Amino acid sequence: MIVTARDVGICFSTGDTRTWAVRHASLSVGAGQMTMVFGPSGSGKSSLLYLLSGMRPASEGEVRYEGRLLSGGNSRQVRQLRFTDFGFVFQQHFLVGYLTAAENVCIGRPRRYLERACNLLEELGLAAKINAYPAQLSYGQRQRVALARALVHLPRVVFADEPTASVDSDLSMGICQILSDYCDQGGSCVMVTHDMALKTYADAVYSMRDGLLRPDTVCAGQ
Amino acid sequence: MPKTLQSITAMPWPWTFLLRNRSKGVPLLLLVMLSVMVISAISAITESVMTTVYSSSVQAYEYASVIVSKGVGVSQRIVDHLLDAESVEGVLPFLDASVRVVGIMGSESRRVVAVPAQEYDTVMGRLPVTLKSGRLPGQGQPEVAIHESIARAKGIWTGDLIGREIDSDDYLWGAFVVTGILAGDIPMCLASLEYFRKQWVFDTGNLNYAYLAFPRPGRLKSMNEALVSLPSDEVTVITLDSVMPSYSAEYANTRLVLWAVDLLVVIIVSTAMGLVNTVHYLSRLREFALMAAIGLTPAMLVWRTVVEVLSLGLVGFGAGLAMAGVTLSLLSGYLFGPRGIEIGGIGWRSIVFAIPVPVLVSVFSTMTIWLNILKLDVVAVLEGRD
Repeated sequence: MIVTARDVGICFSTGDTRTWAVRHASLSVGAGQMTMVFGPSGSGKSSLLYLLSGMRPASEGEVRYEGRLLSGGNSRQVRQLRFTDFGFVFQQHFLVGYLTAAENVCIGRPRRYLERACNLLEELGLAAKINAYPAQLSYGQRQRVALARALVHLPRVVFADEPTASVDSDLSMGICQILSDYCDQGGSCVMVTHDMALKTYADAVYSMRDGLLRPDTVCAGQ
Repeated sequence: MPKTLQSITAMPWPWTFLLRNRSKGVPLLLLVMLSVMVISAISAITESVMTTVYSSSVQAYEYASVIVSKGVGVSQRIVDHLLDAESVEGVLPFLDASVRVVGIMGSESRRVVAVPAQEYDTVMGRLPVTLKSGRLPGQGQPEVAIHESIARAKGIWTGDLIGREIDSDDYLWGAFVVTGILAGDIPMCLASLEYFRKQWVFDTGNLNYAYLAFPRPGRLKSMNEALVSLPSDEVTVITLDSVMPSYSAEYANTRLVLWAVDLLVVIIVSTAMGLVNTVHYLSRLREFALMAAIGLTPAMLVWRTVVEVLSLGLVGFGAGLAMAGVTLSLLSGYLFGPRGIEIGGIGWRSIVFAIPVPVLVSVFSTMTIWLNILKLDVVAVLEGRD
C-alpha cells in the first residue's frame, strides 16, 4: 500500500464547539489503484483529501505514505512529498492568469519539465493551446491544463478533489479516463466526487457521509 | 542558494509577473526610478555646490597661508620671523578684494588677489592657476585677470570692465579692465598690488597690510604650526586648519539635510511600495496558495518575491541613475553651464545616497509579503474561504 489512513480524523474548533469534519476514517491506496470517494457536499470528502495529502494535520489517527508517518511528520518533509510524489487536481483549476498553458503546467518546477508539459498538453488535445493564456481557454480546456499540472512530474499519487464538478459528462469521462490510464501506468489516484456515474473507473470505492467513511461496493472496473 | 530553490526559480522567471502585467509593474518601476533620480541628482548638485565652495574658499589654503594685520600693517619683525622659519619658503605682500557671481545656491564670492606685478608668476606657480588667454594685469593699472568660470558667470570677457562701478555687489572698488582669462582649480582673480595700494583706505606707511606665506614642499603643516606662534594681538593667521572646520561643519550640515531628505523619500517610497505589493499579493493570493499546495516552502515563495522585487528595484535603480545623469547633463548644458556653474556627474556619493531606495524598498516589500505568506492558509484559499 502506498497511502494508508488509520482511524484518522480532523476536528475544527469554534470557541467551545468542536466539529469533526472527518472521524475514524481508515483507507488504503495501492499502487496503480484508482480510489474513489463518493459523498454529498459537506460530507467531509475534501477534508479527507487534505488529510491524506498532508495538507492538513490529523486531529486523530495517522496517515502513512510508504510506511512513513505523514500527519505527524515534519512539515518540510510533507511539503517535499507534495512537490515530488503527489499531484493535485482541485475543484477549481487555479490557473495563473499571466502564465501560458505550458507555464501553468510547470509552475514552480524546473524548466526541464517544459518538454513533458508540452507533450502532456498534446495528449490532452491542447497542442494548439500551449502558449495560450487561461483567459483564452474554455473551462474544459483549463481543467485539462490543471490535470496536466498534476501529472507533469509523474507523481506516485494524484489527489483529485471534484475535478469533474463543473464540466459536462463527456469531459468528466475524459478526465477520469486520463486518471485511470495514469493508474494503469503505475500511478495511484484518490478522487473525491459526488458523481456516481464515474464509479466505473474506480478500483476501490468508498462512500462518505457526515464525516464517516465506509468501504462501498467494488465496481466492475476492478 | 540551495539546488532545489535554484531550479524552482527557473520556471517561470520570478519577474514574469511584472513583465506581463506592465500596468502593475510600470508604476512601481517609475516610483523607484523617480526616487533614485531625484535623490542622486540632488546629491550630485549638492556635491557640486560643496566642491565649488571648497575650491573658492578653502583650496587656496592648501598652497599658502595668510597673515593679516590687526593694526596698521604687519611689522618687519614678524616678516623677519616668518622668513627665518625653516618651513617657510617665502612670503609675499598682498591685498584682496572680491567679486560676486551667481551660484546654484545664490550669490557666491570669488577672491581677487593683488600681488606685486613681478610676482605674478610666483603666485600662479604656487596656486595652480594658468593664464589661458589675454595678458596679466599691468603694474599699477586698474586691470585684472579673471578665472574663466567667473568670466562665464558674469558674462564678460577680455576687454570688458568689472568692479563695483559695473556691479554694485562686487567688493572691488571702481572699474577694472579684464586683461586676461585664468584657468585652474581655484576660481580667483589676479590684480596688481601697486594699484590696490593706491586705492587702499588704510595708510600702512612702509608696512604691508597682509602677506601670503608659502611653505617649502611638503611642509604646510609645520609652517602652519609655526604661524600659530605669531603674536595674536598683532596679526590674524588664516590657515587650512582654521578654515577647514567651518567648511566641514557646513558640509556636514548639508549632508545631514541630504540624508534626511533621502530617509524621507525612502520611507515614503518603501511604504507606498509595501502597500502596493500587499494589494498585488492579495490579487495573487491563489497563485501563492497553489504553489504552497504543490509543495513550495514559504522560503521558496519569499525567495521568488525577493527576486521579483529586487529585479524591479535594480532596474529602477539603474534607470533612475541614467535619468539623473541625463538630467544633470541637460541642466549643466543648458542652465548652469552657461552661467559658469559647474555641475558634476553621478559619482559614488550619489550612488551611496540612492542605494537605500532599491534596498529598503525590496526589504520592506519582501517583509510585507513574507508576513502574509506566513499567515497563508492554503486550504482556506483553495476552498474559496479567503
